[in-house]
Amino acid sequence: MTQEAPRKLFRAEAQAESVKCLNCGGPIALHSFGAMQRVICPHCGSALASTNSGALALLEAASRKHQPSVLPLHARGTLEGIEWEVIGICWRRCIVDGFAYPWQEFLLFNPYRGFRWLIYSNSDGHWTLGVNLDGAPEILKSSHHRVRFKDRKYRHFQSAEAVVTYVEGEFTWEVHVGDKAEANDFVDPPFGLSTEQATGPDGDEITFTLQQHLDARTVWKAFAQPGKPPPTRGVAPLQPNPWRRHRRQIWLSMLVLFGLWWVLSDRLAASLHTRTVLNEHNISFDEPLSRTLTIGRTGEATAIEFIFSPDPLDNAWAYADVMLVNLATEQAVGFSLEASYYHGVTDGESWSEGSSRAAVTIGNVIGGEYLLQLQPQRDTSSIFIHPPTSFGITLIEDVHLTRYSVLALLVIFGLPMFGGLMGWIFERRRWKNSDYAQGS
Amino acid sequence: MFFRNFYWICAGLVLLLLAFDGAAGNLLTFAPDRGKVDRDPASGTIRSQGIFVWFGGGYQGGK
Repeated sequence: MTQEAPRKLFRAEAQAESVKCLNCGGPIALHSFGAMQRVICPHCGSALASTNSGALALLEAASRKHQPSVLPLHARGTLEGIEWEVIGICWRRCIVDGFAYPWQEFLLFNPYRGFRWLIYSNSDGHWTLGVNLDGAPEILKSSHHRVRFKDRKYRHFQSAEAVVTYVEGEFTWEVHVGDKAEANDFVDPPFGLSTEQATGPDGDEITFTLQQHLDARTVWKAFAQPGKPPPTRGVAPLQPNPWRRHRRQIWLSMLVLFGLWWVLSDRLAASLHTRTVLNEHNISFDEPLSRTLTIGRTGEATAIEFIFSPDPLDNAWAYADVMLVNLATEQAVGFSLEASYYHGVTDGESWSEGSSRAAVTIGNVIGGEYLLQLQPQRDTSSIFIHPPTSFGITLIEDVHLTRYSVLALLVIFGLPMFGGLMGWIFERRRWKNSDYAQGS
Repeated sequence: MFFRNFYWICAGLVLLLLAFDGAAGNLLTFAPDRGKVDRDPASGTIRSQGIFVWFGGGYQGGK
């Protein structure tokens, strides 16, 4: 009695099928199984296609050299948690204003997820990931051509004729070097829509591709490539604008922060009791001045303004050395003020410089009884100078320092405006490469 | 992300400055010379920066 071989409960794991090129004999690995329409030998460039029996048939023999792409054929990488393999590479280019803009398209395949396009732009080094749309976008009527797909609206960016310049690997359509397609790109960074219209023997074919910008380092790391990715240049059509990433949050924050500023400024103004502590005039320059004053509330810090105003001050200077000594703590604050005012006529034009008074604002003066000591000096260097005959001094406590409020306002409003300006400049750089650039 | 956080931090700092230093003006004002004066034990005068000062007014002058 012969024993029957045990029947397999499960199918064998899917494996890549390895065949040889019918022209050069080079090994070709096939991955896409029934979806494959055309195989381009990576070694010699010959075109092959599967026949009804499943065997490969040579369609067109070629003897071109293999060209290295930025990612090699059959490279594997994990993007967004899915492992993909590069099964086909297609180089294309368009010519705008006499300049060629080449890019490389990598057909990615995963047996459970299907196909994706990884696109590398040679001209700026940026990457995008594309997937064929499961529908057609709706064309919107507006001055700037727009389309809508699902909940996003895309603005037309550029139109160009894309020409295939190099192919290798497996493809799900019948690809040839020299194939042309009319491409239109629409953008809503970091997403974009691309439409391609190609005319073949069976008529026109339109394909829609949804694209998303990828960071070059992410792609490089995903495909475990050595070193660093090729550097990026300029602003790519789908590159997200970093200045507009949190635009809504920043503008909402600005409103909240302005409300806080309003409350704090109001509280500050209510807490201040601005008072003129000392206001004397017609003081002689002949001898130093000494006064005992009470500044602020004992133990509390206050800001004072000290004004020195010589009179008259005409083409001369006056100077004051001032010291305030807290009589309780014997802590001294020393400062000096110089007032100078000059004017005249030179070459028929009158001029003036300086000011007839000098003022200084000093913060963190602890309230209490103070001794003010002032030593004045004046310009007596020439008999032609008419020095000031007297001076006045004013000391104000609890002065309102508007600089604090102004600085806060500058930051609260200035930074969002700066971000808005930088975002605008970023967009200008993006659209400079479009069909809608100024001057194009 | 960086710009938003930078904005929040800067705005928070200037509001804190306004709230806690707006009245005293410790940071955004002229910084004068400060220090404790010395008292002459014999005469009772105090001295700072080369200028003699004594309680009760008047100026002694000299160094």
